[in-house]
Amino acid sequence: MVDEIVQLLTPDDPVLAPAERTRVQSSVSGFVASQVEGLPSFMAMPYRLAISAFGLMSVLRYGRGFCSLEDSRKRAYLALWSEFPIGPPRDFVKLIRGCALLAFFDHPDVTRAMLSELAAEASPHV
Amino acid sequence: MSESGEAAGPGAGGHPLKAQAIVVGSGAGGALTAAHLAERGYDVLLLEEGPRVDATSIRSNSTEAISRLYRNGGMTPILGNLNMAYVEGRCVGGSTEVNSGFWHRLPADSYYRWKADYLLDEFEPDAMDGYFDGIEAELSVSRSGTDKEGRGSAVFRRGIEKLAWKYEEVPRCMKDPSASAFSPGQKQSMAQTYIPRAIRAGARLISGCKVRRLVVEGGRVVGVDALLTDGAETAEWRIRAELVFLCCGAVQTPALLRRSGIKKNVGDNLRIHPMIKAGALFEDEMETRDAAIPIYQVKEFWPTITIGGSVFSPGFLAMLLSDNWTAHAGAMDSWHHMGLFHAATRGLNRGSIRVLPGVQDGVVVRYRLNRADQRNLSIGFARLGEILFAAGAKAVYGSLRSFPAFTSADQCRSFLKADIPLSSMSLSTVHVFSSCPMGENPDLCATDSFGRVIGFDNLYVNDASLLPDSPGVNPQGTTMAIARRNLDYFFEDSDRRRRSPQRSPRSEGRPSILVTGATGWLGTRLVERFYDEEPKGGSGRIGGGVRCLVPHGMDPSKLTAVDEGVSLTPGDLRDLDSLRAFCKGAEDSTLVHLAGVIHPGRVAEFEEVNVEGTRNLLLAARDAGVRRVVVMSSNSPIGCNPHRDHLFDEDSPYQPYMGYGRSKVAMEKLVIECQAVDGLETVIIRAPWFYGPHQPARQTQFFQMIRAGRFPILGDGRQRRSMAYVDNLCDGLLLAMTRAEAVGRTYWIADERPYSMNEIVDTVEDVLESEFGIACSHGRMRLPSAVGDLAQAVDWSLQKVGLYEQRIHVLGEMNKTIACSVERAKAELGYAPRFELRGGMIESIRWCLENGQHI
Repeated sequence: MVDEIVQLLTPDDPVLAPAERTRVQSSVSGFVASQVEGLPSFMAMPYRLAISAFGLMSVLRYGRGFCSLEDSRKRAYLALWSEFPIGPPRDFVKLIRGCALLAFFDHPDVTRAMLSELAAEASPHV
Repeated sequence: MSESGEAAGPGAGGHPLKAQAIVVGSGAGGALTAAHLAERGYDVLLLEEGPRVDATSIRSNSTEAISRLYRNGGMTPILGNLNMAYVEGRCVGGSTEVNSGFWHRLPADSYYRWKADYLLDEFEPDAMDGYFDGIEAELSVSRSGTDKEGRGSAVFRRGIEKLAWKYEEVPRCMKDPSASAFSPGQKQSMAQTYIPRAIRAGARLISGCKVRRLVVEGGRVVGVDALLTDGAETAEWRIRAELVFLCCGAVQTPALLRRSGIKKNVGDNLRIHPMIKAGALFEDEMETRDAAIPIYQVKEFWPTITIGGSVFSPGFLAMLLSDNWTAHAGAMDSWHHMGLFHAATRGLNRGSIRVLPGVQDGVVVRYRLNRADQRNLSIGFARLGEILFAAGAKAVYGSLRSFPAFTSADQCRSFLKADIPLSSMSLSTVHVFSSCPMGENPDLCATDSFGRVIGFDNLYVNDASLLPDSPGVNPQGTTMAIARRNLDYFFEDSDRRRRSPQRSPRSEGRPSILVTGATGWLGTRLVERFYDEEPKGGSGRIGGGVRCLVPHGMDPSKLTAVDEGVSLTPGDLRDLDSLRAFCKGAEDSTLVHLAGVIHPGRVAEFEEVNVEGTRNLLLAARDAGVRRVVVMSSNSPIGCNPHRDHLFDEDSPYQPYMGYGRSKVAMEKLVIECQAVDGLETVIIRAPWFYGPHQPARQTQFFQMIRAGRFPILGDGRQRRSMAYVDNLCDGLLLAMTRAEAVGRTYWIADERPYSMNEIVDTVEDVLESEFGIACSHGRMRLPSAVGDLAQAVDWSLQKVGLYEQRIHVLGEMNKTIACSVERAKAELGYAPRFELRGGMIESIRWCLENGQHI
């Protein structure tokens, strides 16, 4: 489920070739997973419970698991959690989002694409 | 050992691992400590929990670095009213491998504050400057200068100068101070400097080795228990050492101490620098991708608030914007026009470090932002915004949830008056310290002024935990300078102890004898004996000044009546500070330690007073240069004789009787260790049931019960008890104080022979009637021996739950034989008991009657 959330949170820009996108996505998911695994054990358990709660609430709300939702519903559901009035649901999404964005924009393929876009903007039109 | 200095464990060579000194943690404090110890010839084992990673192969601050070099992926949680992340290194070199390399000296106000509040000794700016100078030279600490400043620094400086605020270029420990934060191997981290130096000097390094607890035996740290992970295999080691230096950082050092049961003032004083961040969009291309971190810090609002630049990467920018990603994602299109900055405040609250039992990485760090912290962070963000807009920023994005981008300085200035809600802030910190503060304040300090852990003579802390409070600047420089200073003191102190103590002539006013427990009946009698005109017992006249420790609530009037040479010092065995005052100026004196708890109000007092109190006293005595310590023990460590005809001697094994016995065993072991390690002359005296003048009320009650025929005799009354008339005991103590042969020995001191219970009761009856004309009923309360066993069982049960009932305890002993031989004391010391039962009881009863006690 975390992979699904990561996929949702990973930006569409810059544009990447499909193979690059797959590679980057895999790297980002791996980094997020490692960060979650790296939490101290007394926090890892509550975090896993939060993941379970995230999935369960989707069933309660939509009658389906999160992974089965359409993208638009997934985004809405995720937005609900990230704007929750109390901290724990917000922190749950914040951790995944922050790590996913860090890993995405740190990836060499993404950096290369960003620099290419810059160079393209700076080049005179032929 | 490998060429890199890596040591092999016992699995590899089969040999148990040991060292003269273990240094735990290879960061700023640990690496320096290991290097200097090794260079002084110590056999050093440096243990690092994290991996050994080639820094030149990893791009600094990349996700790879975060995964491999940081604890918990850079997200060690600090829990509180607002959770925040603590970014800490976990690798060979510690946080110096992941920080920005900024270097600060300790600000002047910290010196005065630390001396005033924490009673820090010998801590002067002039002396510390010398340590800073030395380390700065070794780490190539320098400034790059404005001609080499990066675009981010130039823009930031433009804003500060426009506001005419004070700022400075912060030096860095980099091979090239203008180098990029992303340039591998540029930073003069510990892995580049002190660790190779330590290894060249012979230190052994073991990485991937987590120290789980300290091994404490007889009140002394003798090594560590560690978990070594080598690939897929994990093994537990016990590593022995004479010295242990803890340099694991302000979170892991107190955690390790607390896990090992060392908790006094440990982990209660955590200070941090909470930090709020901002990204700023400029018209200019910032060229921050490969540029150095902005090198200027604003000092206008220091020491409360520091404002400066942060490491930039598109990833870090995205993390900052992630708090409001939906609204701010578009800013990533202009990433090359953006820079990252921060405002940090000197946290004014105190946090804590605690460990969760049974949880392997269960270290809980807590810090609660108080109102002042919130205020200061709000002001800091406001001022940062002012600088950035003054520098030409078009927009400022804060690490603030649900806030739009700020588009003017006025919007930021609103926080000068109104606080940013705590729930909106995303905070982090890279600076934590003060969790084991050093100094002489017993209410606050976990170590003395030089890092030695209170209550131990071979356990030290030498990292950022020691800083008494927040310095308001990057702590690496201060941590290293203090570590260096502490090591100098350690070397001088070790040299002093190795040399034979100078027997300086006794100067007027300095005591020759110190006595604890002097207000008790044995102590009072002993002090009287010091001033006997005609010394008895073969010891010779003691003379000289006598200083007595007097706990609160005790009546010292009998002591001052003995002689004007008797002085009194208030104090308590549980208060090391008072014991140091008690021992001050007593170099070359003799200490007689009689104080202790026999019949406590709480069972815990056995440990607190008899064990910990003795440890405190030995420490104070050793540090003050006391020459000899004579310690009063008991028959309880040895228990009860196996049969009635048996006599204990000094080689009889420990079989402690109940809590008191166990506490005396622990006390004796402390004394023996002290003799062996510190060279302090020690003598242990074991005395059984003693009697004589000045005896307490319970002894008088003993006479009363015999007179009334109500004294219980359990069984046939032929069980034997050794007794010690008080003057026989004083004779033995005086011999122990003066005879060279006594050093390092243990002696039973008692009357010449043990007596049966029947004989004791019969003798008292006879003395009462024939010597004092007091009629006795001649009755006996005969009870089965099993009553004693039953009382012993009840006593055991009560003590198990922390309770104590004196009468039950005494009844439990009354069917036992507790008898000893005094042959060793006679042979080695010339001890010759002058009193036997009848003569002693005559003196005892006479004293009772002359002092108004009714029998």
